[in-house]
Amino acid sequence: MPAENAWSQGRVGPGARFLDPKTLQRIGSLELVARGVVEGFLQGLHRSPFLGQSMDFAEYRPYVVGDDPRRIDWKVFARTERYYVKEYEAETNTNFTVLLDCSHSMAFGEAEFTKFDYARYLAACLSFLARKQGDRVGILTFDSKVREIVPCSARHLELVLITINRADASRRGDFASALHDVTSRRTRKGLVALVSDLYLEPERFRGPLNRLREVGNDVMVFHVLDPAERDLPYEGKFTLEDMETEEFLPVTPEDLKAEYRELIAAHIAEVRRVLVGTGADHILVDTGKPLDHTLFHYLLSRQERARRGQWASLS
Amino acid sequence: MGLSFLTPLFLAGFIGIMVPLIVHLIRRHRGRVIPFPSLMFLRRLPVETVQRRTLRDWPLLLLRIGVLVLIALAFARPVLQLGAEEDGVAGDPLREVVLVVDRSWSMAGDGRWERAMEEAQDALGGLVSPDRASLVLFDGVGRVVVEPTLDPGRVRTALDTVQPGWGGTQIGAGLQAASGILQASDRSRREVVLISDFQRRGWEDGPRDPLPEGTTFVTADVGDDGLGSMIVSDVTLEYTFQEGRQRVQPSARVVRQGEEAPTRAEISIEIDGQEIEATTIEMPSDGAVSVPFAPITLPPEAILGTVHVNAEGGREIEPFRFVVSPSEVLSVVLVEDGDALGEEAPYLRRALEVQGGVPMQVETRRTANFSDAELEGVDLVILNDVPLPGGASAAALQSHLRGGGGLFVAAGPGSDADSWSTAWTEFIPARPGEIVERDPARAASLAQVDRDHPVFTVFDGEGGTGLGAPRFFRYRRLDVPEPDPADGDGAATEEQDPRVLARLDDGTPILAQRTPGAGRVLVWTSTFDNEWSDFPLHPVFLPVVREIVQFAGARRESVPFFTVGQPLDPSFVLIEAGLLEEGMAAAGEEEGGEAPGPALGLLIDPDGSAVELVADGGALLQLASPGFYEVREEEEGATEWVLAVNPDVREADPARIDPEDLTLAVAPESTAEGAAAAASLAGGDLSQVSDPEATLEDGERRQGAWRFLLAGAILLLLGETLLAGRKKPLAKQAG
Repeated sequence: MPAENAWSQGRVGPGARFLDPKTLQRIGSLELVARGVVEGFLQGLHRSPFLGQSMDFAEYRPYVVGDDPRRIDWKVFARTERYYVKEYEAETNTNFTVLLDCSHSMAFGEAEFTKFDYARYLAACLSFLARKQGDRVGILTFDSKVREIVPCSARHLELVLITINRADASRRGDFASALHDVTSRRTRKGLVALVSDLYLEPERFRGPLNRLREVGNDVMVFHVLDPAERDLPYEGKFTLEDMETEEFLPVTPEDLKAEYRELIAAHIAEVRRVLVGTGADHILVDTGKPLDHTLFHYLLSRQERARRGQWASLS
Repeated sequence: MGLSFLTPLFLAGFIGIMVPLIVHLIRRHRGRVIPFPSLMFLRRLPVETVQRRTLRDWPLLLLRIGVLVLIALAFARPVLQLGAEEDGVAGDPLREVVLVVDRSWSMAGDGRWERAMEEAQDALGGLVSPDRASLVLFDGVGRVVVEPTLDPGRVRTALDTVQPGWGGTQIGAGLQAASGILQASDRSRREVVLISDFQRRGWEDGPRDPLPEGTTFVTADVGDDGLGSMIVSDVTLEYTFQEGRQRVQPSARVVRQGEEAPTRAEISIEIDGQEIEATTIEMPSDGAVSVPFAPITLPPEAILGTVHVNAEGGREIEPFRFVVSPSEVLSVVLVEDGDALGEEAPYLRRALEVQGGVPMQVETRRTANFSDAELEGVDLVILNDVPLPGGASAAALQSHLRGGGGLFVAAGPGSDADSWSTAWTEFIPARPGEIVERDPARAASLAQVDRDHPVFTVFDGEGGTGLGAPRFFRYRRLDVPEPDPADGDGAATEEQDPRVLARLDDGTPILAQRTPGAGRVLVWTSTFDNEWSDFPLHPVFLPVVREIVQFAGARRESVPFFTVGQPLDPSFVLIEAGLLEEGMAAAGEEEGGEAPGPALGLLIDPDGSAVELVADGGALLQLASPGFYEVREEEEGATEWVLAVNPDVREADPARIDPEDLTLAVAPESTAEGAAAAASLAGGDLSQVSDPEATLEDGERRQGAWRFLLAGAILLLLGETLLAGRKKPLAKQAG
C-alpha cells in the first residue's frame, strides 16, 4: 500500500492523502482500459432520481453535432443568434454517500496497515470516483453512534476527504444501533456505500438495509476483512483481546483454526445471503490485496451485473 | 525444638496463595495478548475453557506462592522453643523446677501460708519424672532448703516442716538463690515458681536481678489486697534530767495502713514485766499517731519495755520491745567569747541543748582556763573560736586528753593562730594557717567527707543528706600531712593520724582529727556562726554537730531495739556488753587473720538457744525472731546486755506489687505459649505465668525468624520480577 507518498510527506493537503497518485493512476488506467464499463456503470448505476432538475448550473458551450437539440438555450440564441447548450454538473448523477464504520474492530490489521486504513482509502477513492462522475458526495462516520455527517454536495469532495482523514477507529462500536441511526437520518435517495467489517449477526442489519432500500437508495456493502481474521494464522498459545468488548480469551489456535475458519466462512456467506436478500451488493474486501484491485474487481462485478440486466432492480 | 507463633492469625494469609493461582488461571496468556476484532466466533468454541485451566508458568507460580507463604509466616512471628517438646509439659526430660516460697512475717497472717502450701503442692503435683525440683525459702535472705532432686517427696517433706518466720521480705534474695540453682543446672528447660504475697517493699528494697536466660517464670499470689494492718513501728526515748536523776519518756508510734485496718485500739506500756500505763487511741483512716507515756525514772540498770496494742476485733498485733539503758551524761565545757555569750551566735550552744540522743550537760565559759580539778569528770571541751590555752591550762587540758578526754576546736578568727604553739603539735592535726576569703558568689562547699568515720556514718545514705548545701565564705588553711602513698591507696584509714574527715571543694580540710593517747581532738577550720558560713542555717548543721560532739566525747548512743534479720557484728555486741574493749576489736581483727578467736560471750535468744560471740573472725549474727536477747559472759553468768528485737515493720505494709510488674522486671520477654506450658505445670491454678526466655536478647533470638522469612520473601520477589520480566508480548498492538 502507498505508505510513503507525496501527501504523507506533507507536500499535499490532507484531503489528497487518499488520492494517492499511484492508486489514482492505476484507477485511471483502469478507466482507460474499461472506460466503457465504468462510464456505463456510473451512468447506469447513478441515474439521478431528479434527472434534468439539477440546479447546479455549470457553463454554456457551443452546440455540436450530436447534442440533443432540446438542450439548446433558446433565450441565449435570441440574444446572440448562436446555439449554446447549457451544462449542469449534476445533470445525470446522484447523491453518493459513504457510510464509514469507525468502530475499534476496524483498527485491526496484521499487515502494514489496518482495516481502517484500507477502508479510508477505499472510501476516498469511491468518493473521488463518484465526484468525477458528477455525483454529489457526502460521508457519514459512525461507531456506536453517528460521529460526523457531511451532506452530499457537488462541492463537498474536499470536506469528505478531510472528514475521512480525521476519522479514527478508537471507540467501541455498535453496528446495529449505529446503522439504525443512519437509516433514520437519511431521506434523500442516492447511492450508499457502507464500508465495515460487519461483526454483527447478519439478521440484525437486515432491517436497516431494507429501510435504505425502501427509500430508493442503492446500497453497496464493502465487507472489509483482514486475512488474519479469516485464517487465524497464529501459532502457539496466547490470549486474544476483543477490541470491541476488551474481553480476554486464552486460546490455542491449532485446536481452533479449522472450526474458526468454518465459522467465519459461514458468517460471510450469511452476510452475503442477507445482503442479496435486501437488494444490496456485497463486496468482500481483502485488505491483503491492493485497493485498485478491489475497485477493479468491483467495477467488473458491476459490469457483469449490468450485462445480466440487474440494474433495473437498482433504479 | 518446637515451633509456635505469637500472632497465629496471620497464618490466615495462606489464603493468599489462591491469588497467584487465580491470576495464573485468569491471566495465563496476558504476556502474549493479541488484539482481535471480535471474539464472537471464538466464544462459540468450547476448547478455550479447557485451555484456560492449564497452568503454564510453574516456576513463576511457585515463586509467588512462596512469597505469600513467607510473608504470612513472618507476620505470624514464629517462636522457636529450643529444647522443648511440642506438648511443653509431659515428655520433656530436661526440666529444672525451683520452688521459691516466701516465709516472711507477712505470710503468717490471714491464711496466706496455708494458701502458699496449697500452691506449692499443686506445683509439685505437676512434675513429671524425671523432672528435677528444688526448694528455696526466703524472707530477708534466700536459702536453698532442698537441693535439686528427682524426688519431689523431699520437697514436700521440707515444706511440711516449714513455718513462716519473723523476717522481712526480700523477693530478690529468693530469686537470687533460685538463679544460683538454675545457673548450675544442665537442664535445658528451667522454671521458677514464686509463691508470695508480693509485698511491694519486699521487692523495692531488695536486689532486682533478672532470672537466667531461658527461665520460665511462674508466680502464685497468695496475698490479699483488702487487708490492712496496725503496728507499733517505733518507740522513741527522750532523756531528761530532773533533780540530778535521769528520766526517760517513751513515745510509741502506731501506724495504721489499709482501709480494713482497725481504727480503735488499746495501747499499754510494760516495764520489766509490769504494765505501768494504758490508754485508748483512735486511729486516722490511714496514718500514724504518736502515743507519749509518762516519764520513767531510770534505775542504774537497763530496763526492758514492751508496748502492747489490742486492736478492736481481737486482731493479734505483735508487741514492740525496747531497752532503756541509763546513759552516762556527756559533760561538755563550751568556751566561747563574749559576743557569742551575748546571744549573737548561739547556734552551737543551741545545738548542744537539743534533747535526744546522748544526754549532755553543757557548762559555758568565756575563757579557756582550766585546772586539773576543773576538768575532772569533763568528757569534752569545746573551744568555739577562742585561742588555745597556754601555760598551766594547756598542760591540764593536754593531760586530760591523754587520759581519754575530748577536744573540739572551731578555728575561727578569734582562735589566734599564734596560740597554736609547738606545745600543741602532738595534739592537733595541724596548725591553722591564713584565712581564706571566698567570693560569696563562689563560696566553698563540702566536697568530700570520710563516710567511714563515725561522725559521717549516719549520712551514708542515698543522697539527700544535704552535706553539700552549706556555703563557706571564710575558713583557715590547715595543712594536714597527707598519708604516704606507699602505705596504700592514699585514702584515709582508721589508723591514720592525723586524719582529714572532710574537705572543701578546694581541698582545704574543714574537719580533721588527731588522737593523742586515748583522747580525741577534732578541728573545724571555720566558725559556727553565720558570718564565715551559712552552715548553721542548714538542717544538716544539727546532726553534724551532734555527731562530732558525741564522737569527740567518746559517747555512743545506745540502741533501744533491733530488727529481725538485722545482721550484727559480734564485736559490736561484745563491746556494748562490756566484754570487749573498743580498741581491742580492731586490733584483734588485724592480727587474727582468718582464724576465729576465742568465744568471749554468749548470745541467748528468746528461746534459750545460745550462740557464741567471737570477736575475731566470727560470723555475723542473725536475729531470727523477735524478743529479748541476752548477752552473757558464760551461760550461767549474769546478763551483761540485753537486746530488744522486733519484727520488720515493713512487713506490715499492705502495699503490694503486681505480679505482672514483677514478671516484667525479672523476665521481660514473656510469651503466651510459655504461660500455657507453665500453667499446665502448676495445675492451672497459678495466677501469673510467663515464659520470659529470660532476656530481651534471647527472646529476640528465638523470635527473630521473621526477619529471615521477610528477607526470603524479598529474594523471591526479586526472582519473580526477573522471571516475569522475561515474558514478552507475542503480538504488537494494532495500528
